[in-house]
Amino acid sequence: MGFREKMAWAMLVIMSAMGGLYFYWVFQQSAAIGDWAPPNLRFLIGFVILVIVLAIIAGTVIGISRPSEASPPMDERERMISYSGEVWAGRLMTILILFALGDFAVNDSGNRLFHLTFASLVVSQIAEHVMQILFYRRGV
Amino acid sequence: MTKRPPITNRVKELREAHEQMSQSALAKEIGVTRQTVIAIEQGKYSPSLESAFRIARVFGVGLEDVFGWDGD
Repeated sequence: MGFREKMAWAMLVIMSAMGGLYFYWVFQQSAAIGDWAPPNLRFLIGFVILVIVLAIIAGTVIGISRPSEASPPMDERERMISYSGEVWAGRLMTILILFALGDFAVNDSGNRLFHLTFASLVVSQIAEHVMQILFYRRGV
Repeated sequence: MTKRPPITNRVKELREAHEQMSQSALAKEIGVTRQTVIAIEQGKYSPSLESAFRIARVFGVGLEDVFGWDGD
């Protein structure tokens, strides 16, 4: 398994865990107030910083485990896999955001729109890594 | 989405006949990662025309001596 495939696995785990934690918090807050919780900017910034820090740690650990393969320039296959993953993630994000907008048109909840849009970003990122892993394992 | 390309190749055979050249050495010669050479040998990835020519040149043979068409 190459450096980038390992990173795709690491990012899949990080995004799934962090996304799960974030939305667990959202649901807990929402349940406490009996309505969709307003977005918490401090919590959101903390989420983003933590994801970046965890990604750096993962990249460093994976790089140290095999320094000769650590972060070389992408070759043609890796570029194609990266691009294909982004295309699939982009399609999914478009569908999810359209769903979020449709939900807003019906329910008129700005807080819910924010959380659904943010969930679209997180889910599409997870999908990108899933697709990349699939392409690495099964071919592109 | 992940359908095998209808292109066969003799990369592994030629590499082994070429003084047991390692996958890493071939990867370095053609400018890709070792994982990409593995994917080519397993038929999971069809290289670009440029890489295909580079592979053929490493072994000193023609393109059709390395790659074949296995489709309709």
